[in-house]
Amino acid sequence: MIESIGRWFREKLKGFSYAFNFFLFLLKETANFPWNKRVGFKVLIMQIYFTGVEALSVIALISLGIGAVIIIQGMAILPMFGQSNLMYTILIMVITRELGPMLTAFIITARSGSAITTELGNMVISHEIEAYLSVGIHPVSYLGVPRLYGVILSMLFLNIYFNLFGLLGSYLVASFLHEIPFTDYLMNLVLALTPADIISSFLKSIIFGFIIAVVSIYYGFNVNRAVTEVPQNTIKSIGMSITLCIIADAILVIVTRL
Amino acid sequence: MKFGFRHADKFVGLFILVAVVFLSSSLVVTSINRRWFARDYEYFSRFFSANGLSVGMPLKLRGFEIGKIKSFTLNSDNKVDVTLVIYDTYIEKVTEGSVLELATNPLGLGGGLNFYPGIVNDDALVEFSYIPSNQSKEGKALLASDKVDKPGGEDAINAIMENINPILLGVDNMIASMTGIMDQVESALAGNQATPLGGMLVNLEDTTSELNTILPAVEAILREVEKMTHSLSTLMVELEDPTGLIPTLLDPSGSLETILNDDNELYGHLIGILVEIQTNLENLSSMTNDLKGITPELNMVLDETSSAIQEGKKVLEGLSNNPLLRKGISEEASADYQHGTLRDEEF
Repeated sequence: MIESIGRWFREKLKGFSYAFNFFLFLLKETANFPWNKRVGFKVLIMQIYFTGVEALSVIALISLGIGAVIIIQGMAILPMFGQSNLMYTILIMVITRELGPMLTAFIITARSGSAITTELGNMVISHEIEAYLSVGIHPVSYLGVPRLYGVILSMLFLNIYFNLFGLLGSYLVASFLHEIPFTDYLMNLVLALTPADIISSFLKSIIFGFIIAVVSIYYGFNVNRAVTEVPQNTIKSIGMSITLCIIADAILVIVTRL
Repeated sequence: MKFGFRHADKFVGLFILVAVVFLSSSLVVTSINRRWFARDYEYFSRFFSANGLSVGMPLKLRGFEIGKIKSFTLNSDNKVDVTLVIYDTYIEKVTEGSVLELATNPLGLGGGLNFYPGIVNDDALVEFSYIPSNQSKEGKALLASDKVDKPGGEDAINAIMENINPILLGVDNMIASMTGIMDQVESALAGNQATPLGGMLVNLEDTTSELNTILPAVEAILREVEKMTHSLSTLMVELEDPTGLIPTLLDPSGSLETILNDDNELYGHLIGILVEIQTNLENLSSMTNDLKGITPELNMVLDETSSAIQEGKKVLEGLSNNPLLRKGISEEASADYQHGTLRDEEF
């Protein structure tokens, strides 16, 4: 029993060491990416296309719905307490600060994170990684880093679109039910928006994007030889990404509110 | 090749461009709103207490935010030095003789720092100058001398409070007058009042004591009167029989003989009774005159009570018309969940 515990601990330590070294190498390659002539920007563009552009319709629909719900509920409840102007603060708080980055992260994890893990895992199984190595291209530099940049940038831009549709697009939905002058709505929204909201939203987008990309790439390269490992690693990748995003969100909220 | 893949560069470019434009416009609008690139002019003031003050508290002129509090510290004289900034768009409003007023809300709904520009001199106040507060002697003097542009009501709450204040004053007066009346009554009942009501009560007490002294005498008189009535009754019975009247009258020991020859004893009694009755009637007459005399004071007391009730009615009407109290809190309806858990439900 002691032997099995020792073996388990040694394997965990080995796994952690591998993950840490992988993370450091990825960071180093990420820093070198703009000056590395061998990696193709085409991979980055395609990653932004898959992760960002193709996810835009889903993001737009969700943000429109959430923004409209907040406006309609706010206009129904808040005037009862004489706090109608709080609606804009709540809208900014929910869409810009909290739900925007978090929901975007969930959607990217489900769509792109799982896709990255599956794609890389399948490439390992089909020995494509070995082919890259045989021609002197490091797979982490060529496959991992563009995906990391692609996911972070897509996350950032999708979060901006989430705010755009959530804050402005939802006005169109709400205006069918209540008559709100657009200039008043926009002015109140601008008054409620603070630089701290924008910075917080940006910071969360970058951190969540980084978490999703690193976890997805790690679990993709973590596949060894069996095809059955691919879905297992994909599931682990999604679960780990969501868990780390929520923990990071909690830490960021605590730090920014201290 | 799929259309999207062929034009992926364009789609990504547009995707990034729109996001950057939206972000840039948001930052520009926020920076304008937050006055990141605007110049602020610094001034300072002094207050006795930091209660109601806070960093970033807006400084308002007729409801417009013209500046804010930058910082405040407790100085060596235990007074609060306040550093405030005025926005460049309103800097010409800061003239000499301007006053700051820290308005606290009696309803506990926050307050505000109001700015009243001086109207005597149009010269702009130099930056880093001192602006007196309404707590300082200088500020009080300026406010009292009407040398500042101070409007009547600053905000809705103040306006409401201004309307409530006369009502509350009315209530106060009513309570004061009622207290006065009660004190007066109490003092009068204690017998140490020289006022008409006190006099009335003292007279009543005197009259009552006099009546107490008279009553035994009246009782004695009534007993005598009863005797007389009895005698007269006997006399009437005797008179019914005229045959026996003359012998009885002429009888040396008869009633007439007794009346005529009792050394005026009965006559004296009768005179005494009449004198006492006259005295009682005089006392009653005096008491009636006293009551007549205090009728105006009683009327005055009744009028005061009536006006106090009228004031109370106005206060209640004012409170019921108050928009802050009207339909303020709705009743909460509690809905009970019929099943505790899913296991409690019967399928």
